[in-house]
Amino acid sequence: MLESFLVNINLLFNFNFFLIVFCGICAGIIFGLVPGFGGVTALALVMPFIYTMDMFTGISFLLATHASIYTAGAISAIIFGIPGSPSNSATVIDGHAFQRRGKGLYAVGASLGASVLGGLFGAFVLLLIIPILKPILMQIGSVEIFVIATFGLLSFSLLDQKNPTKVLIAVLIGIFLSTIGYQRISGNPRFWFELETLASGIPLVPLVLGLFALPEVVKLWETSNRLVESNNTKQLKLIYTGILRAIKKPILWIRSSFIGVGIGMIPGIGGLVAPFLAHTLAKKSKKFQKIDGVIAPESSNNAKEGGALIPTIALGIPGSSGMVLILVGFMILGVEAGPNFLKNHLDIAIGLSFILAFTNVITALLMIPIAIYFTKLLIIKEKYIAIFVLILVLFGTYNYANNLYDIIYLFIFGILGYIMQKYEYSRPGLILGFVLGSIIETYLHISIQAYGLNMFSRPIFILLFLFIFILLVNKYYIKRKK
Amino acid sequence: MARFLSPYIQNETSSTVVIKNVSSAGGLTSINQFVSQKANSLDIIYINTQTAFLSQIFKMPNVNYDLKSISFLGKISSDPYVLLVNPNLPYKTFDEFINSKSTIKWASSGKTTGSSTNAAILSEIFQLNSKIIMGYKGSNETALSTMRGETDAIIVTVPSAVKYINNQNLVPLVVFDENRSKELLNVPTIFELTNLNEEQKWLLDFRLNLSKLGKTLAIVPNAPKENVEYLSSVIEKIVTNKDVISQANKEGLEIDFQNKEEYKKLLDSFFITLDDEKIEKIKYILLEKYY
Repeated sequence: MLESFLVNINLLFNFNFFLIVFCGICAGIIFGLVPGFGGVTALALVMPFIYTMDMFTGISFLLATHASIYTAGAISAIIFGIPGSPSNSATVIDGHAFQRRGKGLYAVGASLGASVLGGLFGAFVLLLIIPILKPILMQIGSVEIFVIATFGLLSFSLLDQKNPTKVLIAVLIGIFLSTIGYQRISGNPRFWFELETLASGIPLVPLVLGLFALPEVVKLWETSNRLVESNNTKQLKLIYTGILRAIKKPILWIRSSFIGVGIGMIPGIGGLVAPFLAHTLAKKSKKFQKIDGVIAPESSNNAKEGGALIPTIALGIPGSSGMVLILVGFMILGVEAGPNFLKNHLDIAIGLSFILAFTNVITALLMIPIAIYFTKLLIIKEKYIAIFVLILVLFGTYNYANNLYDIIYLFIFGILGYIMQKYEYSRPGLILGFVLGSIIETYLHISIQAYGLNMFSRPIFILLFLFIFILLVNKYYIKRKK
Repeated sequence: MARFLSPYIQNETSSTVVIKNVSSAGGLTSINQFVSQKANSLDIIYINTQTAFLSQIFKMPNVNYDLKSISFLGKISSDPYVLLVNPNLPYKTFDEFINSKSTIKWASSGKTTGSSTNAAILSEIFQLNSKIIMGYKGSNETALSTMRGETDAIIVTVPSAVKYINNQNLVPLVVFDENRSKELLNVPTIFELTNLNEEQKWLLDFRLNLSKLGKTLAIVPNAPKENVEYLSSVIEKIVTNKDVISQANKEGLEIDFQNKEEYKKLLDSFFITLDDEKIEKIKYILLEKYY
């Protein structure tokens, strides 16, 4: 292990290798900044470049591209209020408010700091548990996925909030939207009114961009104030203060990163859940400050990539949709991920955790000048920025599946998002209900079919169930005290 | 496979190839969208024809296509299937497996997929006490459920099976093919192990022939003849090239080409041999009985 450690450190100082990983990072940043381009699209586009690379360099290149997307996506979320990728949606909630107050770069700094810390945490956990990965993963089945998803949804609905009824309504709308289209457990379409486009279900990217980005476009169009203060001399200082703020919140980012790794390593849940859950738990704290709403989702967002690598490497089962293409990369380069890979190429597995850590640090450093340049765009008149953002959103939405119906969905959810924003209904609640609704339905069905009543006796189920119960009781007592 | 072939098609035709992912309902949505295009459309589709065929004959909701009218360019791949079981179960041979008294739980990601239909047919032939559990997302998740013991068995294609066996997670019991697979030489075929009556034989043949429908490339119905001829010759040139085949193998893909004329004959024979009574019978076995 120590030998592998030294070899990998040495490799990072190899100029050619460094250059290739750097190119991967730059590609990831570009794809991350443009809304709609997720990790899957980015990896599919850069995949042809790995054909001539050796195994470790090729996988490192792909991983660097993939891991840098989410750090870059947070910048669009904070500055324009448009999540660069769906998993940056939770950052919009509190992050964009800083931009409106002229302190966007402070939030950018906090997000970069949190991303690095979360990314390093994810890489560290990956490194630490590589030798014991398989038995851990084998303990997590459909029952556990069902309980975790239920926990995520309940905690979000219950732990907020000024207006729980409005949150609950938003969550229920999300759950309803998730039932449209083919149901995984029966294979039949529901609520589709014999319309082809509805049979396929509601697509995630137009939903997220419609709910979050279009209301921002309208706001920009309507506003008469500049988004950023004209004095730019303090920009670097703002970023620096933001980074320090993230570092000084160890409990927050460690807890959020832990959530990221934990959820990331479970195939089937999806990366969108971790940032929302981390954000919700951060908000529960009595000492919650707005900036915590940036640090929590971003640290968990980057940590989840380390988590998603765990089943990918250990079992050859992708931990997220992006990891599917990382597995294809493994195959192209002539290796197969799985227990045998760990046995024969432990050095590479360790090396990948280094690349993950390295990518997170370099991406954050590169993002500092990029973010400053990004904010310079804001000196342009708001109406022009609104047009620019709208074009970006339309481009990202159409690019998602080259489908014109997605543009229609974008505007429908844009209207819904505008109404929800105006009347203070929870847009993140809708997204979470949408994502977790179908997971809960599907894995509850599988759990009952596979385990029957025995599902209630599984240790992780009991543990999480108790946790939810304590949470509910705690909430009830706090309410009574008030 | 489509992503793999696209640069070669791009080179051969000197045109830009754009990949469009339409993944919903086991490909039904993509076929529906595809057949509604004009005859001069330049789109090519990669179809899992066995799933599309079953969905069509079972008149599943939202099937708006007729495979007989699609202009096939040729079959690209068709893999035989393998039965894999959890290593902690007491079944070490196929015989032990089919004589099991307990309920066998199968993992599945869709009722008309290869894994579900194979499980249902096998259960029917050997009167197994089976329960197929739907809802898993793709073959990787079904395999993972069997690895961790949530389900007992899965039936997957040989290339996928090799991956799961090599990682020492799952145990292969039998290959569903007439000949042993070159990747799994020590695994017997179902014909080596069983003596079937006429009825059982018919069911097994039906399932094995379905596998032969495989995955195909096609262009829109009623496409101009010269388009079909040109593109089918381009595809044939690409997928019969040894370098392309070896690169595909490197990426875990198997190419098993059949030209458009032979393929059309195969597909037509399916439609001719299946009368309404047989279709109803198979429909009940595949879509209802074991769920």
